[in-house]
Amino acid sequence: MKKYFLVIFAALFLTLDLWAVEVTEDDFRDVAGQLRCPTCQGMSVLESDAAFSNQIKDLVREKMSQGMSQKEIEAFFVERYGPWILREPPKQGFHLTAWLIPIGLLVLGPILLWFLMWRRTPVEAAIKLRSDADIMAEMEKVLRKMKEGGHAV
Amino acid sequence: MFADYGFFLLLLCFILSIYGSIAAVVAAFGRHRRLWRSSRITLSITCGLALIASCILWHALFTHDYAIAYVFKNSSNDLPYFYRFTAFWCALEGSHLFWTLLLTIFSTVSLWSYHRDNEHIMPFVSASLQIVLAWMYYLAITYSDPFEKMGQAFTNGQGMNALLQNFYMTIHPPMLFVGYTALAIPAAYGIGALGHGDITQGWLKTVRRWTLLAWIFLTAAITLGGRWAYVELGWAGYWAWDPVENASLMPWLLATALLHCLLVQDRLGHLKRFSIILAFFAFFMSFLGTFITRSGVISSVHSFAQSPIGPNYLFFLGALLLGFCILFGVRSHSILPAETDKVWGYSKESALLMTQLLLLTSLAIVFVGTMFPIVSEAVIKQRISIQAPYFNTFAPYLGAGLVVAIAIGNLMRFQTPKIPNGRQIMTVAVAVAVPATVLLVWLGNVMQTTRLYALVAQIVGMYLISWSACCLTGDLYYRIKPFQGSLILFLRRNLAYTGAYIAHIGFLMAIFGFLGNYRTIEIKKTLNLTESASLYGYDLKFDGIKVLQEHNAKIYAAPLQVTKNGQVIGTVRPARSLYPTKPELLHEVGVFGSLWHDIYIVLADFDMKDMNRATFQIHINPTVRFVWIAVIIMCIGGIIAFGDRYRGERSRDMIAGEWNLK
Repeated sequence: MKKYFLVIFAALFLTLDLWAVEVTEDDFRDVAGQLRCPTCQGMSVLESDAAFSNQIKDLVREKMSQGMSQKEIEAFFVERYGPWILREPPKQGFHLTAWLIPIGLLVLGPILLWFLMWRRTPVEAAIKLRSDADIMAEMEKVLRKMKEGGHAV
Repeated sequence: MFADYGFFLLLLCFILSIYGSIAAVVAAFGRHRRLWRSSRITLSITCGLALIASCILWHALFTHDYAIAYVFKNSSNDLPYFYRFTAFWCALEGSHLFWTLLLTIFSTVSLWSYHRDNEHIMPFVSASLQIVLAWMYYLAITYSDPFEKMGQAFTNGQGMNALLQNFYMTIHPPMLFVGYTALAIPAAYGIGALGHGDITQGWLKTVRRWTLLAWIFLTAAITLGGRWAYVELGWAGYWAWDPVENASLMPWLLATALLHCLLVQDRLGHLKRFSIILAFFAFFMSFLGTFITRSGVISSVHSFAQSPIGPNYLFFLGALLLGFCILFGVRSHSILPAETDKVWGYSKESALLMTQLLLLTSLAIVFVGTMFPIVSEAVIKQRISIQAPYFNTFAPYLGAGLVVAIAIGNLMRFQTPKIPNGRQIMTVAVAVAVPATVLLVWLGNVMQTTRLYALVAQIVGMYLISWSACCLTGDLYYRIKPFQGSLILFLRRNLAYTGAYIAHIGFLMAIFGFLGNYRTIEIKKTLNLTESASLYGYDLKFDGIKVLQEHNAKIYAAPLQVTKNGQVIGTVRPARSLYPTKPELLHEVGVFGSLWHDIYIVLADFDMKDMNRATFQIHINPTVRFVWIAVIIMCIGGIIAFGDRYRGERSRDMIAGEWNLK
């Protein structure tokens, strides 16, 4: 009986070992790069060498080897430390504005400009400009007046 | 003893500035010439007094007058001479005085130069500058008094912040402040134009010069700040989208937009009001930047300069914004565009407007990213952080947009959809860009990139950059061609164009440099004595830790011998330094490499006892040097454009607009 148990245990361990996901360095960097270092300024745990960051990094590696996806790991840390731990605002609720403003400007800005400026074909004589013929006529009128001896203007 | 005089001088400056601004306002509305002259002379006297006050502070720093709190807190007996000089701007009170001093100097210069061309608006310019100065001097004698005294006399000070004892930190703040304060003049001219009700003959020329000056200094200063972060902080990067970095980028973006807006105004007499708005907000943003640094509302690496001065800044910023909005609302309708026909449509002016849109979009993103955490905390009581990933999401699109806009905008002509030689230039550019991209990919060793999206982004980016550079060069070629080889003749009339060409090429090169961030390599390695690490074809041999004394710092250096292909090519010296003022060890990064990549080594950890075991963080940072070179090129372009005497001199306003010179 004891032997049986041992064999089952060994088998379980082996399968667990097989299930363990191979974590590539790139994947790890992606995840760790998204979590902020709690004790430093503007850095991710990936770039930081602080004790706290190293703990988080170890935790990330552990979770990844258990097969958790990036989203799940992020959710885990958000539950623990709040959305503050992420390096960008969550894409939900009020925080969505931080995402919508830039996207709106990038997409709507050019469209708006298009309607305001580009769609308008260059307009000649946007402000009343006299044609050459008009100018000639006016000049002749003035010349006639001058010949008559009066002041032109 | 001298300190009392210092305080007294600043008080005098404050009183004089108040008189100067009142005199200027009365002169402006009463058309009183003598009063305006009096206000100008007042400002000149203020300038002299502020210079003397600054010299007193320098004197105190050099003679170790620890009776003054600022000197006590920011210097010590063992501080080298060089840093005693720079201690002036290494903390809040001193840098506030320095900012104010520079603003005073520039204001004085602006009132004595170009004043004949801008006679009608000068009183307004003088008034707006002196109102700002009065506020700054008020702060200098109340919340941020550099001459505040200690209760007792000390024989040694607490010492300067060790992080700031670096060559780049000595020139970065002055250059940044020059950029910030020079932006005050365009803003003052904008307010002057609003007050007067029209722009003046020399308005464009003057504003262009000052904006360009500010732009050159800001460009250099931002990069020097990045360079400081690169060699001093040890996180292998030069730009972290830190709030204070963003704060310096925002005025730069606005100054760049203003320069392009002035171009349209020069040629067509349009966008005058937009220029005024941009000029004001460029200065406003530089003030906001100062506020961000001072108040500590946003935590950042610059937190060494915090103080209760914050709320006062906020009050002033609000007043400034409100004042401008009211003035603009009441007066802007009298500033009319020139009667130019045939504008907009497919033309250079539209392309320039598109460029401004891109620059302002970048500004909006940087602004939202910097300010949103405060808003979010105030509105929904939830703390969030916005760091590099957020900005890096948008940066590639903005960069690509700007690269394309540079090419299109330079090829197009004002008031016409026709591009001269457009087809030839385009064909050649599209074709030449292919081998150019291949060459860049090969030289930069791009194919080693591990991630597919990063690889695609780099190749697309490099293609666009080479295409854009070819377009620019093609345009230059067809402009020089009619001069039949006489470059002097071309340059005489086209300095502004040439400067712009160089600056744009520099910008493209900088973007190319930024692309290197997609393919950085990083490893961490612990080495015992005489062991080596190999990475990227280099072998780095560890020879043990050496302890040295440099000035006032104790240095733990770990020199590594660099070998490539069996040949010794040099040594890198990553180190940690211990300053008497701080218990923790600071990073002294070791950088070595070629034009195409830096080997960047941080001494992460070492065995303090037997000194023969150390852990290194080794990074390969491609094309970082391109960024440094690119910025030098951009500044050279700016300086060349600064020398142009024609742009703005006979602008369309004078040809088409109505001028009643009184």
